[in-house]
Amino acid sequence: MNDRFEERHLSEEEFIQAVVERDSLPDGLNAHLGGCPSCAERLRRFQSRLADMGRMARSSAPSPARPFRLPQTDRKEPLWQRKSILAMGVSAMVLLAVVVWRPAWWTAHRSTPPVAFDAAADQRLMEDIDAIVENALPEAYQQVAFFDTPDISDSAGDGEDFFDWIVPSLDEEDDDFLS
Amino acid sequence: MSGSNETDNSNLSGQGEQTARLVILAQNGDHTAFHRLADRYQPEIFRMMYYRTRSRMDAEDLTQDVFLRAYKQIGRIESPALFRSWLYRIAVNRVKDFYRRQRIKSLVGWVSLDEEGFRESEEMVVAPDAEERLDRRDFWNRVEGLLERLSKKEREAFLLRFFDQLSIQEMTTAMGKNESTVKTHLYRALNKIKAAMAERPDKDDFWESI
Repeated sequence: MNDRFEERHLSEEEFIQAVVERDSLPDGLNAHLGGCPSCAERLRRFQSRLADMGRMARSSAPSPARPFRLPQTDRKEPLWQRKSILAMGVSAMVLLAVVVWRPAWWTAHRSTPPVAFDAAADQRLMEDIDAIVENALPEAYQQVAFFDTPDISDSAGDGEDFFDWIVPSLDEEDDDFLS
Repeated sequence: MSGSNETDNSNLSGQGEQTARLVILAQNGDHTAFHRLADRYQPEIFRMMYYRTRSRMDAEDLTQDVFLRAYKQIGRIESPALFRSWLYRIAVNRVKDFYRRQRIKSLVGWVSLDEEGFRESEEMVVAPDAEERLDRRDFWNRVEGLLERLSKKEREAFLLRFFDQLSIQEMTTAMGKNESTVKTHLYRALNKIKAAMAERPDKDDFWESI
């Protein structure tokens, strides 16, 4: 079998197969390639031209302008350093919450001091007392009471004049005397 | 020859060990170790981005983004020795995102996908000499002509293998595919590229110029 392979030159397909990977060729063909100067030369030329293409590509390509360096922000800090940074961050957040949020909550719940509440209640109580002093009856009964009570407002002045006529006021005499 | 190979291999394994050590240090929060990793791999990731975007500015931004993501996710690497291919995995995904965003922007009308003018102005910065600029532009035009024939997966496999110099094993991590799938993409890519060469009457000149 191997001998039959060695008798003939490599076909185009086998030749390409040898370029891809020579070891993948059957043993007989590999042996032929090793012993046949013509096939070996063809393979060498093809491979060297492919290699030349790669070399020319490398020489035609520019070089990188700057070396790669990790940005500061992307550098991985040691574990202990990362933990302490995390702890500091959490502490700062807690402190911020206490300073900013807590007084706000406190103020919201104590915006009206108890003294102010008491003063307002006292004020209302005093107004109610004044109202009762002025009109002891509830409002519904006040109208009824007013209907039965004679209106003495107009005659009040007359009554005073009458009594003043019967018993003259000492003050008036004093006034006359003085005048 | 074999002695030289042994030296190369020992250098590579030494580099791999050093990378693995730096990865472990970076996983433990050592910024300096990560900066050393970045210094080592930034040029090739930048080139990788440039091959795919052909824009220096975009390549710069994407490279920075790749390393930033790598730093944030470095704790997830289980095999520190696979750092390089893992980095390419991030880079490949970033390129996909970049083109997805570009397509959305072009649909909305924010950007034009035809950025030839912009590329020319960028090339003046990369290669101020006019002749050199022309050579570079010619080279990239030819490469683009070849890559246009490939599907996205084939193109990625081809670029990772021959431009970024990744091994098949590294490609499996970078592409997130199994070895068989990666080889299939690569095989198809090479087949199409060979066919494209055969179509050109000046195929020898073309390859010689490359």
